[in-house]
Amino acid sequence: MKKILMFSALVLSVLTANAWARSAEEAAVIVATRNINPKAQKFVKKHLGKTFEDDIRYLYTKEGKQAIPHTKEIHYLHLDKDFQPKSVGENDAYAAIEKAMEVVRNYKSYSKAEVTRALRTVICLMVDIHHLPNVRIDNIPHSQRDFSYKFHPTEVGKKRDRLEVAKWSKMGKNYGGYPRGFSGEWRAYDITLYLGDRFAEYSKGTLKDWAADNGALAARYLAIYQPDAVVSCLDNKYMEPVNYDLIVKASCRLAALLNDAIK
Amino acid sequence: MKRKFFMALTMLVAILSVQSAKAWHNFAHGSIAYMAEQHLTPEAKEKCRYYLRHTLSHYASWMDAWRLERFEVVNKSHAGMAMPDGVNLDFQSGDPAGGVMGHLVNALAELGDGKYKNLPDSVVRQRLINMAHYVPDMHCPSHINFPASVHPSQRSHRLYDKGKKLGYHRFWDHSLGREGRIKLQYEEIAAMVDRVSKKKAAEIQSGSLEDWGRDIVKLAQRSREVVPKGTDVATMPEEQVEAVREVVFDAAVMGAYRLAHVINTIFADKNIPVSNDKK
Repeated sequence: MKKILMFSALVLSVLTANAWARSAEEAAVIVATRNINPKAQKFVKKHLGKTFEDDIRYLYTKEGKQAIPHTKEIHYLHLDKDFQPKSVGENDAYAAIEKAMEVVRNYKSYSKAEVTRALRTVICLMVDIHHLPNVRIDNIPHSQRDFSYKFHPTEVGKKRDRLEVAKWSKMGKNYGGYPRGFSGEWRAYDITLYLGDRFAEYSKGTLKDWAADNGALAARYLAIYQPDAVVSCLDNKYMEPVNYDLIVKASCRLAALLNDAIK
Repeated sequence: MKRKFFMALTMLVAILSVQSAKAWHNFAHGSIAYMAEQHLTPEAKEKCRYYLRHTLSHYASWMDAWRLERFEVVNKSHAGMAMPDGVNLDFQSGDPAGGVMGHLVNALAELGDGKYKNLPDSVVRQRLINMAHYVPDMHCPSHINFPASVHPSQRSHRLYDKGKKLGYHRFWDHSLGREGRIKLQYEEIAAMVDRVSKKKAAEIQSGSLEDWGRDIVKLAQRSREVVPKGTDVATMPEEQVEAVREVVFDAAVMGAYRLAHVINTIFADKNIPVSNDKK
């Protein structure tokens, strides 16, 4: 019994080492589905049922990899120096979302399985493109790969001041304020409180605008977060609300895409 | 089976405890705030929504996250000093940065009896964020310090874990967090811990801050009796594991119900008396 519990806990702690905390991703989808029109809700329910957790990580799963052959690059948003999506073939989040949305928009011409795959792709990648380490910008070399940086967990000179090392790709995971006890539902409620009546503001624009918005934000933080940079305590901590806001944007924009496609 | 389960949880602490000592573990804070939120009145819930735009759980660990940076005053209000007959309110309230109970006394004086309406939103918001943390914190058994004449210091109340030194503070701070390490969520923890009757809940919330202080001191004393100096927590018998669990659950429930009561009272334009002599 003890051994099983210990082993399970250790395995689970490794499995949760994703970019976003799992419940944040789940919450984004829950909030999105609560902000879509009745027709889109019916459509999502018909094609997905209650499989949010799988859908968010769909392209990372064995099934997803088999259904849509792709490389790791599909999770990244490739932008030029003006933050405009650039053509890098099918293995790009922007291109893949556009392609999948084409299927969703014209769902009557496709099989249910194809539409389900497309929906899952959109959900997975809409969350991915709002994760700043997944944004690759042409004139920012260190955005092309993952890197380590150092940060001060406390203000310089404080008793517990020390330098810690973190990975850019882990940005957004397990910040102190968002412990993992949050279930997807409870975090979704939290997001709803935060969002208030700002859905229209957060979902304004097109996929292209959102890509540019995320690009500009990534560029701003990539100026601070660089390989071997020493990030101040405040810069590090202020990523917490920035990441939270991005999850909220991901949920609103996902809803906006579906609202636009299924009327 | 149930006992074996909790025995196993106790064992987990040695392997999985990696966080630095800082009050209840983040997970415990989130869980207690979640429980508190379930006991807010509709009016208080609505006000919290307005001021915080988040759940209480979201801000439950804010004070820990920021304690070592800009806000020295926040750093010093997680623990309290106990006298043999209760928490020393005079000592605490005389110094706003002096301790957790003093902070609560001052906050209620500032916000209670409808006074919150005269304060800027940002001030009320910050007070709520702080309360969501320190009201549960003052119920954590390791957050009460006793004068040396009453109890030896926490530092000398050394515990062990498989023969290795384990701080008394660290042991209790992580005590509810152990469940979190096997991936339970707030709802599940609440179902497990928040099982008190309405009568018991009313008892917890009743009385003055002085009464609460006495309860807290009793709990802190009980925690020292349950886990005496020199205990190896990895080899505690099942009865002792159960006793630890009871202390932890009592502390969590008291923290949650009193946090809810404080917020409900403030937004009902009332106040909680500091002592039984004066309102």
